[in-house]
Amino acid sequence: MVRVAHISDSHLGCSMFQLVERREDARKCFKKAIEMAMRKSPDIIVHTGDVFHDSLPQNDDQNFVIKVFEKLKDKVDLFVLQGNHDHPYGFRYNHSPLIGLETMGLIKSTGEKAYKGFRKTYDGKPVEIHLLSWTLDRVLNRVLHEVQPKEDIALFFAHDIPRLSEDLPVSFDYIGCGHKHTFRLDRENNVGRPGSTCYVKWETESKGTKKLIVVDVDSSGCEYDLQTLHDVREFKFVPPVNISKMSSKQADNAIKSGLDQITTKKEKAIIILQVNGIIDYETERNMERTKILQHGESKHNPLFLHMAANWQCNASEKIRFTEPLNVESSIKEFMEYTNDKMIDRINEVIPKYLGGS
Amino acid sequence: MIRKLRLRDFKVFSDQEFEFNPGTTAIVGPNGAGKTTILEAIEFALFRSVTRKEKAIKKVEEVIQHTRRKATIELEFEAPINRKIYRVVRTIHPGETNADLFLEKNKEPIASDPKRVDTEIVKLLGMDKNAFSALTYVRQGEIFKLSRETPSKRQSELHSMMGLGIYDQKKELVHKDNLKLGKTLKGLLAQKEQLESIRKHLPEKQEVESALTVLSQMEEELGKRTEFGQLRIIIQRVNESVELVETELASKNLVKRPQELEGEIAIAEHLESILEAIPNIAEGQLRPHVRTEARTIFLEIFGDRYGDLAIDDKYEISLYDLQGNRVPLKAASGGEDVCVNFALRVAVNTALQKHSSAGPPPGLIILDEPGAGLDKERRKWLPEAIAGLDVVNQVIVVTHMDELKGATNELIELIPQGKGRQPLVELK
Repeated sequence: MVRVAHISDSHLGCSMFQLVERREDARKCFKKAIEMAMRKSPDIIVHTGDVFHDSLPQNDDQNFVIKVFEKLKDKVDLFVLQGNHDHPYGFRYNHSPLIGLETMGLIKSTGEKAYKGFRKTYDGKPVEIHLLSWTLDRVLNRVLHEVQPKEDIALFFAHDIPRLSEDLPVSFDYIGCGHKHTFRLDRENNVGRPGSTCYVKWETESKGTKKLIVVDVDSSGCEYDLQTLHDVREFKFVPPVNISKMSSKQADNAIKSGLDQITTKKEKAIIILQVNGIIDYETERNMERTKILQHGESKHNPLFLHMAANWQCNASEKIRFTEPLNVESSIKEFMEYTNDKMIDRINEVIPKYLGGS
Repeated sequence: MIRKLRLRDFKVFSDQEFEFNPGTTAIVGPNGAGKTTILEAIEFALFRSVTRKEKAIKKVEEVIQHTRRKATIELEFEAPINRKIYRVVRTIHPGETNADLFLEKNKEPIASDPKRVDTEIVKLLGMDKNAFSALTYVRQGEIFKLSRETPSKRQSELHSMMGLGIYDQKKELVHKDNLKLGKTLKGLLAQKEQLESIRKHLPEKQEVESALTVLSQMEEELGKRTEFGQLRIIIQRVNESVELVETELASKNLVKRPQELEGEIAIAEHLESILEAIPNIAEGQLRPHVRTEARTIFLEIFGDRYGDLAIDDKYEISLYDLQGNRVPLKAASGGEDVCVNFALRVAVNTALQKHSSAGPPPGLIILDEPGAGLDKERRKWLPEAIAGLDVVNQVIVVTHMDELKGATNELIELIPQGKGRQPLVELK
């Protein structure tokens, strides 16, 4: 049996809304995830990529990672993949900060290539560990089909596996990936994705969770122990406010009262408020966005309050063309809508003018 | 959507195959390396025409390589409508083109005549050339226009970017025809007027008839004289003229035809007014979607600094910072201003793809020199923006900018080998 702790996507250096505090938060979240993993005394920790948010991380982030990894030395085998953020565009693996960590002997990774395989004995049983950094889809395809595990226990990790679990080869006992920042686990096919260690993009992550996946892999199957990773910062999502057909005053008040209804648990939370609906341009112009935000800030004293303007503005026209660029069908729809008395005669001449464009 | 393109004796390409995969592909090379030729070939393969600077090229044989007798284009594409792979092969000879359309690897074409192939392809794409180019193509120099124009100019730019210019074209067509009808009508009415004025100077039919009766009486009374005969001939001639004018005036051409023409003109005028009204409504229908898409693209890049990108009914563009303050575009820094333009321009395409076709959209966007005219500082965000365009599944960027080389999944690099020679093509 081999015990694997799987985490992913720490994005050190990311700072949502350019908040300096978030850079510190990302470090804390990363450290917290590692510590939680270590408490489970795993044989292996796998980080499936995007340790850094940028291929040129700032020194404080890089030093922090070195210190954290240094402490794990000789306690656990640490495998780290190169994610798409860990190296510059164009798959230039040798430009990644992870190369340095690898050279120092702190981590095992794929070096200057996309793929690398390892074999090591745990608990008296040989285990194959296949690593695939961020790469082209066709490389992923090739590796998935060409790698034929020989040992009883074989693990496969890639930064991103955009495939359905059932389409993946059954020859691996556990397949892990990252890239997307929310947790997913398919226990039937043993495919896991822990999600990011902190909030990176609230838009895509608000509906999901983030977990530490601890998996005991044996030739007979996998046993899972999951632990939710909470961001060190409180993220409060206000229930979406719909301001359809409201005047600017009504909209302002509706949004403010939406803000009034929430309470935050921690100091200095990040509050995200989504505003939806269809309004007219007049309303949009006259809404007092700064006042709304000031209202929320005085009430909750957050680290940051963000109002996501998801509403749409619409002109008052009621005709809707199904294919606005199809001249013929649009003319017909227009005439039907306007109850045109010349509809039959126009239809007669349409082929003359529009036929054979 | 585009899978494979093979060119033989097509402009500088003697024999070259290009493969296109889903994701982003950059076609990079210096000016004159044949980048635009690849785009032209794709257009020709699909629509049998080549557009340059909004104008269709009349003489297609210009694309045949010098000293060769024919050019061949083979294009494999996935039809949005059924996701099947089709292969269109067109050969261009001076004066004529041939075409065959195949389903995947089949040897037997499903259509063979150029016109029939054209119609089949329009069916497979679910749209005609105009719509297809509006949905997929971002022309050189279009990206940085929008913010610098006056609102009214911006509106007309948006119209043409949305492909709504087709209504103006059609209106112009109807209008021309209508002018012709008007001219014919005017001619007929003038003729009628002239005949009527002649009729005024001629005696009435009864008068002529009574003159003839009088003449006969005179002959009876005075006996036959040669003068009477001459008089009779003259009067009969007058009679003929009177009858001729009468029949002309009563003829279908002068009685019914003007009425018909008036009716046709009224219809054409009505059709013109409809064609005039539709683009504004269509644009109003699409604009909110353009705004939504533009907001997404812009915030993807500058979301840590800005909260909203708005374009209102008066075509004013504004940004809102994270504190909710309105930031006029003029006050935003250069890179952001340019990114707003990029976002708006590309949003026109993605909005059209999502909201303007009844069937599945092509899922392809072609960006022609998206960074043209920008200094390094101002186009810093461009690679990221292009890599992030995942609203469509295939993006083809044509550029001479080296820094875009690494920004895409795939790279086709064209290295010129001298005038008229096939460039060296490197695929990565």
